[in-house]
Amino acid sequence: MPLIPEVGKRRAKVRLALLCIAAFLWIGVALHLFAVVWMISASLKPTHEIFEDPFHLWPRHPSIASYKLLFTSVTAGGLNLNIDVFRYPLITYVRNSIYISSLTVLLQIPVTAMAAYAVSKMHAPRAARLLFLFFIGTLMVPGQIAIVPRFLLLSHFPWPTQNIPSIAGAQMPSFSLIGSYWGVILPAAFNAFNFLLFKGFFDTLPTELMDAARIDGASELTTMRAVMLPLARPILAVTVYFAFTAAWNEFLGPWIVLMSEQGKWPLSVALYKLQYSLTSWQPSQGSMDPATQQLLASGVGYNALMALAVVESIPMFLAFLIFREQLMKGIQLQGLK
Amino acid sequence: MQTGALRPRHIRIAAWWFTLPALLFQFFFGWFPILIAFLVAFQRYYFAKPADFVGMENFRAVVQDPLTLEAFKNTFLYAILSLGLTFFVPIFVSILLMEMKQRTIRWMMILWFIPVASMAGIVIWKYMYHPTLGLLNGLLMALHLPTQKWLDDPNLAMLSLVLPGLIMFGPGLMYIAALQSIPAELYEAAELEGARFFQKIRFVTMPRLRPIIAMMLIFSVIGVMQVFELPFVMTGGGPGYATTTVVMQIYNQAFSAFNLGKATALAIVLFFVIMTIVIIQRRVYREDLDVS
Repeated sequence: MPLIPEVGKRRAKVRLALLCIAAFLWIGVALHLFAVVWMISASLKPTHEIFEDPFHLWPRHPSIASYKLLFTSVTAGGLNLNIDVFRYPLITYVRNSIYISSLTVLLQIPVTAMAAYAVSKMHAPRAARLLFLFFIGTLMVPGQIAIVPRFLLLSHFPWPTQNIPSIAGAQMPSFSLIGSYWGVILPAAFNAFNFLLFKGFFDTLPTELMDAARIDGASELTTMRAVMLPLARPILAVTVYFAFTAAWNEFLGPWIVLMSEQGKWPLSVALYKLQYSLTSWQPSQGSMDPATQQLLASGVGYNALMALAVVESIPMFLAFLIFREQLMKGIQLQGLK
Repeated sequence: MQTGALRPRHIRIAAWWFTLPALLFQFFFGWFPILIAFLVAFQRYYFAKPADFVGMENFRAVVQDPLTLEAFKNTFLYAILSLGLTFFVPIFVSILLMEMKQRTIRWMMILWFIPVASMAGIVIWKYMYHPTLGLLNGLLMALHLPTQKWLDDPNLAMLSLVLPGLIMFGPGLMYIAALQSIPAELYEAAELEGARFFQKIRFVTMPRLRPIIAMMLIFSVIGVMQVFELPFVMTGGGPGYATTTVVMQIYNQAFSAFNLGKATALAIVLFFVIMTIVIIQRRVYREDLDVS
């Protein structure tokens, strides 16, 4: 609308320009959709079609063999393929991802929202300013600097070194969070970016609302829960969506912390391992041992990789559908901050 | 706002209870690891016995390692390719998107933002690039063009990492939010003064987008300089070391060579490089503001 005025719309040249713009944009949309369609179509191909006839847009004999791997484990290896991912039915990794992401959301949102609320509405101005800097300062620091220190810290929490101090001869307690879900969840328990979103929102609410609740004798917790949170629903949707998708997509953290615990891998790690084992695997038709035959029949191959990719994307898609309206509103609401 | 003096005691106490969990988490997982990094970089780690301080030795090892320079070269190459090819496309697409009807905008946005999980997205492209089974070589064959080795070709590998971002173009949510907040009257006023298509972009749209572009550029630079997952999954840093980025090198030093001190020293070098770029960027941007 804004660049090309309404009045000129009848002219042939203007209409052609608009048509070109629309075509360009629809091509972009189509490419995005095509990647999704290609992923779904490849996941429905039987393995021999993947190898013999990989370029058909849609499988000629659709098969759900790859999706059956969700519920069955495969231990046979064949022709230089080491497929430890299938030692567990793939649903294990789905369950782990759901477990890690939902616990992260359940912990992060209350912790972050309460801190933002306190900084916005309860603390004295000077304390609020200092706390604000303390909470968002890490946003300016490139995260990679913490890769090794975080590993050391998680190895003997809360001490970053092996020489744990002792008091009166007794060594202080320490816990190894390596190999535990908590080693992935706890580092995400506070999120500076979501803190910023929450604080920006609470700042826009009038203090009188809170004072009214206080005069009625409500405790601080009740004031926040019963008065503020119902108003905060759009921003809550945005932060929950961000927290969930970030936890769901996280790779490096779970990879470092859970590497040796295959039964606890989330989907991102399982997908990485699966593509890693498939990369150099190319069975030729002539010399095929029975183990490879069996692998092919059970749907192991790039079709299984794509099936797992589809499975990993479904919860993201559901979250997007659930939060779509609120997401658009929430982003307009926080404006350009 | 109430002033601090008027705040009753029980509210001040409650405020600290509200803040405490976040305070602990932000300390232990936010600031503490950053502080430790500056300690670890000066230490050597052993499996069985406690670490000792070794002074500048880790930094010396970083400087002497030929892979350090290689990794920085690759990282800069990736950053330049990635920003050069893909940073401005979303801005351009967002501006054009505003020309569509409201209903079309809605539909396009929904279809555009159908999410694919990030590892799934990387893995799809790895499959597309497969030398014999991948779709891209399939297309080239269908067009009777020579097939490419894509990720296995040292000259093409880095470009192949960036390419998906270019062909899968889409708008940026932040830009759309900004564009929608520009009042239509401004465009009408420009119209009355006889401004044409590109003049309106230059004098009405751009001045209002510039702060967001500057902010996104800073975040993008910090992001692309720390790229890890993409090369780690797509190429594993190869062929040879053609796509080994600095953060991959940090990872390799820490978790393959188990040289935690050297890995952290390299992380600190990268930290200062990124900070320098960000500071220069902010200065340039500030001058830019004064002019306009």
